[in-house]
Amino acid sequence: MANKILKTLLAASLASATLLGSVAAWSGVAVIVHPSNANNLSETDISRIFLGKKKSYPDGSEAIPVDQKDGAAVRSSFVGTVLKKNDQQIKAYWAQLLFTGKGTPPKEVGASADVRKLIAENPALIGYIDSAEADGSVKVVFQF
Amino acid sequence: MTRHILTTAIIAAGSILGSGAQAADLRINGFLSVVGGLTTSEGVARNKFTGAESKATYVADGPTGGVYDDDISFKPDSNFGLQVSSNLGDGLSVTGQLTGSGGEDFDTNVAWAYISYDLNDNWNLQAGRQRLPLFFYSDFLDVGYAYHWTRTPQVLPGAFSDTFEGVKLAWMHSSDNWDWRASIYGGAGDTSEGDVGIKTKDVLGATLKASNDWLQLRATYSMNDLVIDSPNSTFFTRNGVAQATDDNPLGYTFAGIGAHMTFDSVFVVTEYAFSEIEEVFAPDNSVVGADGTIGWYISSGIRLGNLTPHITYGVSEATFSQETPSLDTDSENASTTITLGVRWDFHPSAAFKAEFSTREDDSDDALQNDFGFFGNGEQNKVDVFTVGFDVIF
Repeated sequence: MANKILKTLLAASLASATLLGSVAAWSGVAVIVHPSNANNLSETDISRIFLGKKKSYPDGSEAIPVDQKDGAAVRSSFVGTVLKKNDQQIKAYWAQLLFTGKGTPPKEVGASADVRKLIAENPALIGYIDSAEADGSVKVVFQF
Repeated sequence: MTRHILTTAIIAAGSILGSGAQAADLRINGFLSVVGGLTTSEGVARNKFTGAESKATYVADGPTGGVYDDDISFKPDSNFGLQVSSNLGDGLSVTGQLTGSGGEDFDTNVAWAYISYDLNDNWNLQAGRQRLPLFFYSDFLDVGYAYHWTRTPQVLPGAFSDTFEGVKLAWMHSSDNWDWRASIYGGAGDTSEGDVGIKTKDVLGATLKASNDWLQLRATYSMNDLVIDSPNSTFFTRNGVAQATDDNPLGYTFAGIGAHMTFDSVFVVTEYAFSEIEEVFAPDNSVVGADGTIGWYISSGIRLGNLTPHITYGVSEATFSQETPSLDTDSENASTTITLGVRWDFHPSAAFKAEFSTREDDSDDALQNDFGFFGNGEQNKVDVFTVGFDVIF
């Protein structure tokens, strides 16, 4: 009897662990542009655009980066992997540029779905979203 | 970090942004530092003229007169800034920044007011009132959130004015792993200390910065001509010609190099600066000329999650030539400062900082001990402790 209860408990906890796991795990981050954007973008190109060091794509057309909301897991992951900074460092970085006229941080436009929707409508934009949210309306140029 | 006015409108406008249409965009940002502190151990400072002795103090913010003594004060390192900028499209933007410092009772000044124009992807022109870019941290000196200290090291020699009105042309270039930024600027400025007015004419300078993933290198050179309007004294050359006047201004030069390195969670920043002001004499031909002032520091910290403990070692040396009918000698006014501190990022937009600095007086005996004009006492010897918050919004 006791054994059976233990088994049930174990099974339940395993199930909840699996459930938690699948909720917490997300497929990754996709950097996306408008489908008509034919540029090949390296991780360095993307980093430069998002750090305000480059204002155009390799083909010379205007590049406008968009950020997700402050605190979003996708944003932290993107900032850490591609921009190689933590959340506090990227804030200090933009504070340095912002108050000295050297640049303004990308606009914040909500979550993955909002970013995808905007980018699908504007060839100049570049953003990053949860890979699971990528679809045919945008083009994935980099993934991690 | 940023707050848009009419966020909704901007998000709506975002869909047409960049596709040829110009989205007018007003951005308001600000920063605030609230810091309290006091000196905990002070050397003896002697009045040059009367010989009267008092406790040495710690100048936390020279240009605004922010000074700590042994009574707790919340003014010297406290400041705020409010910036409004508008992107007018096609690379044109306007920015104004109002700042106020505790040392000046939070009287507001216009620190920046300029028009910025991107000529293309690589060239930018700024015209208006701007910060004089002398130090690695000059541009954002007021923005405590942007660095690990409570205040940037005070060992570097400063200029008489920290802003100028003029134009700055910047060139940006990216190659392989390096990003380059070079700028040249020119203009004029003015400031006042008490009833002494100081004009900086013919401000001219250049900065060069190269950076990659882990390394930033910076070199700078600046010069200007000083005109000093003081009711109490006039400056003369060795030959008795009035100096620091419109007709015969005092030459001032500044040069500096700096490097910032990041190794995973550890960072190291170091900077060296030299400044020189043309030799001047008092009316009786008795004294005074700072032959040159040098300052350097090295600072390192480690990011441990939200905590960043750090340590800084800094040295300042100024050589004075002293000349009277009976004396012709050089003396060195020098000090060594060690700063220990911790930054705690307890909130996405705010940091708490606690910092302790101990400064030793390494001046020549003539400057430390003698009474009379040359005796300063151990005016550099002082310990100071501060705690405070830096916020950006």
